[in-house]
Amino acid sequence: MTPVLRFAQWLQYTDWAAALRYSAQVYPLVLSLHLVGIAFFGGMILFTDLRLLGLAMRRLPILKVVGALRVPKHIGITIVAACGIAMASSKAEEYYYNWFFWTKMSLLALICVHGLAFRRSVYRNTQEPAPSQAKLAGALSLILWTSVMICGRGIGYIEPPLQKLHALLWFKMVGVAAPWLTRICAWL
Amino acid sequence: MVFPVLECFHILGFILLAGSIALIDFHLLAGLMRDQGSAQLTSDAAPWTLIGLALALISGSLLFASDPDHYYLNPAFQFKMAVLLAAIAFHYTVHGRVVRPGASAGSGKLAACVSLALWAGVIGGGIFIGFVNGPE
Repeated sequence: MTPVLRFAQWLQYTDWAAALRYSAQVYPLVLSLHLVGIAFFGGMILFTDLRLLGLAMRRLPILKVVGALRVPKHIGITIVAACGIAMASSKAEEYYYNWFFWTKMSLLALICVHGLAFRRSVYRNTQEPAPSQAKLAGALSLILWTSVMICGRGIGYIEPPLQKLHALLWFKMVGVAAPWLTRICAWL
Repeated sequence: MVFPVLECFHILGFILLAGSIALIDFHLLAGLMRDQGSAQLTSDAAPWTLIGLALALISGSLLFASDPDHYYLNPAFQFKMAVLLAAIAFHYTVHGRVVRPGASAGSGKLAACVSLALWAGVIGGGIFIGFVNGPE
């Protein structure tokens, strides 16, 4: 068993992760907050990208739009990520076998690389960025975030491999015991 | 394969729709881009609101058409539709009025809170469709 899988199993059996998994109300509420956050604050990422591409708010300098939306975007990503981490923890073992989940995580890592790569030339530039650099940064960001969104939706479409899940071990044991139990009952 | 693709367009649509409106709401409520006029910011965002609305409504209708019986009896869906109608009506009436130059800051803040609550309700209602069951 890999350390990652062992960590995933430990994580999903922590009290709060298990409570979230079995809650009929809290889980959809956390998912709702995740999506409301995506709409309200992901919209700001979208507007930043559209401005970088020269499609929205062209009357304002790039510097101004990027600067004004930076702090609210950071607040937003904190809310959305907190909800995401809570949900992923509650189904950690299942998600370990979900390739959409790992693709999404890899894309998020790429987004960090993207932010660092364009930090000097665009996002933290003290002068107005060159349009070509801005367009490249905006287009890449748009592609990366759209892919994250698609993978996020995709996670829900992967069936968990039931025979591998530790969580279902108990049910498996009952399944093995059941024929014997019926035989014993019949004998009695 | 069609259903998940439509869902992605639906998500992209409501990010544009609610995101562009939230931008104005955060401006009214928390002073985002304080030095910009509310009316000017609204006209910057308006075309994207409309594109988002069109995208969300078209993809949403198609998602609904895939299994109407499953949706229209679902209490979360009914809630979502009621709040959606209220949110659209609010946006194109009251919300459009509080961004005009003469409007008071207090009415702007109140309208921003109502607007954010309505759109959050629409999105939350949409999520809950998958978690509640209608009458069999």
